[in-house]
Amino acid sequence: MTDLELWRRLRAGDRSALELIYRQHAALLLQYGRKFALSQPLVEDCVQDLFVDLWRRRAQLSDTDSIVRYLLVALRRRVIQRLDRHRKRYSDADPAAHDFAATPAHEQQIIAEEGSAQKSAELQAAFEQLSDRQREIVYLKYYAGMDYEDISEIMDLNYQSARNLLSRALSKLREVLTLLFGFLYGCWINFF
Amino acid sequence: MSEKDYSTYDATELAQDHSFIRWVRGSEADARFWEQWLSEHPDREDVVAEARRLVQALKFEETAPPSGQIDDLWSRIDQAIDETEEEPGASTPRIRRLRWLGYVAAACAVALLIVSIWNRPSWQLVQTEAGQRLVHTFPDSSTVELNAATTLRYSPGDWGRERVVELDGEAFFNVKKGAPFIVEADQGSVRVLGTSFNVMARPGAFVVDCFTGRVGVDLALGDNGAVLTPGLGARLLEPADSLDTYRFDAATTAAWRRDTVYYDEEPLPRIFNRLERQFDVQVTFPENLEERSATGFFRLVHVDSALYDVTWPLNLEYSREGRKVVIQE
Repeated sequence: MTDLELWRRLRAGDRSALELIYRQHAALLLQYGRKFALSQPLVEDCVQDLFVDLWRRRAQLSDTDSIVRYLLVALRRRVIQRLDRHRKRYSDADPAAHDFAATPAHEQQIIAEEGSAQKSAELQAAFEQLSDRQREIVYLKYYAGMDYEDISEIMDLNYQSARNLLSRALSKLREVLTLLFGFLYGCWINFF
Repeated sequence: MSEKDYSTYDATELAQDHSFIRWVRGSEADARFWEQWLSEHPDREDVVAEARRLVQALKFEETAPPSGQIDDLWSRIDQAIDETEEEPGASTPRIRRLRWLGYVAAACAVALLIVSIWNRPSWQLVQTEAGQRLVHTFPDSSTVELNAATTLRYSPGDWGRERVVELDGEAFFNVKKGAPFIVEADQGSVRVLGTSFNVMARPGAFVVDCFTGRVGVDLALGDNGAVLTPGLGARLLEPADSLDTYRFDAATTAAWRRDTVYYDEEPLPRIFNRLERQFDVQVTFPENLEERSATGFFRLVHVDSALYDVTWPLNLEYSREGRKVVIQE
């Protein structure tokens, strides 16, 4: 069943469609929500409100070709509202800035190389130096598998800003990778 | 597979391409395309190798939430929908069997809808910035005094039915007898009938002090709570995860209302934080002070006298330029 068909079943009032949508996407929604500085019970609250609201407003929904995008947009909005409500008024942090904690796991190929534990730690450190928004876009692209159109809607950016944001994040990481693996590249290129 | 001219792509551009990512992640269909492409563009080997490295470095491994969590959350959603259902769903058999109940529910829903349109909750926001304090009176003449950097939100329209306020910061409540009065904070909630009490709900600290009447405290996480009588306080200070009750001295507790802040064996960073909020300044201090605690007080009269009150007994020096304060040993 395509997203569009499933969505139409939901709009027609089929409650099993709601459950199916929930079961397909709950894990990602809970994981994504937890990346913001919000506790587990509050993230669950947001997911609950999101689905209750989705059911309540089912008749007014318009078609979507990507349910996961719709859900991520809606969840992010709720999480950020919740964070803003409880935001420390005295911090002079940028109101558009929200903590986003996600670190990739470096196993497999990279780990297989010598000195890999340290390399992995350095990569990790590089990743932590990215801004919260850069970490979020990398997560959406490389973990959630979203494309630029999805990302610009989820993060409320225009298409070009989304591209720029990710390109800058990748350039930073690429610098670190070149430092870490530059020597190996040299050998490899000579080989050809 | 694609019309794109990949030979002009650099490593970061390749690493953003969906098909390329799929190949690195092991897709057979994409492998066919990329292996073919590589054999036609041997000069791009190094770029491809670098892009592969980049994509591999961006592999997130998430542990799936336990299925119990997902099931529990679904049953909560299911139940919440049952409770809020405004009109009977057309095809659910349970509702068809109890059609008359559906009509009753529909009538109630319509009535509720009319009431809620009539009585649309509008939020009242009461807030202070750093360096400010204020007193606010609720519709039933209960009052609240807000300390600096505090936000309070409630719905005046619902006040006759339920008195619920959301608090982020510190406030002293004086509550008239009536419907339950509930203060909701991130870490927990406080429930009273008619009483006076102080609540501090700041990151890392949730502290409730009861001055008169009875005060019930519930934590958002964990299942322990407390019932406080006058002179008793309950606190949750990180990293603890349970409430600790204590007897307080009414003369030194919530004394910010009388222009004095007392602290008792409190870590220095938290004391400096209080100074920042009360006077709208930014305090920087040497790292080795982070572990130290102090007992004392400062007066909310002038920032310099308060800084003196705090630093002098500790043998510390301070300098201030406008809103920037530097503490030194």
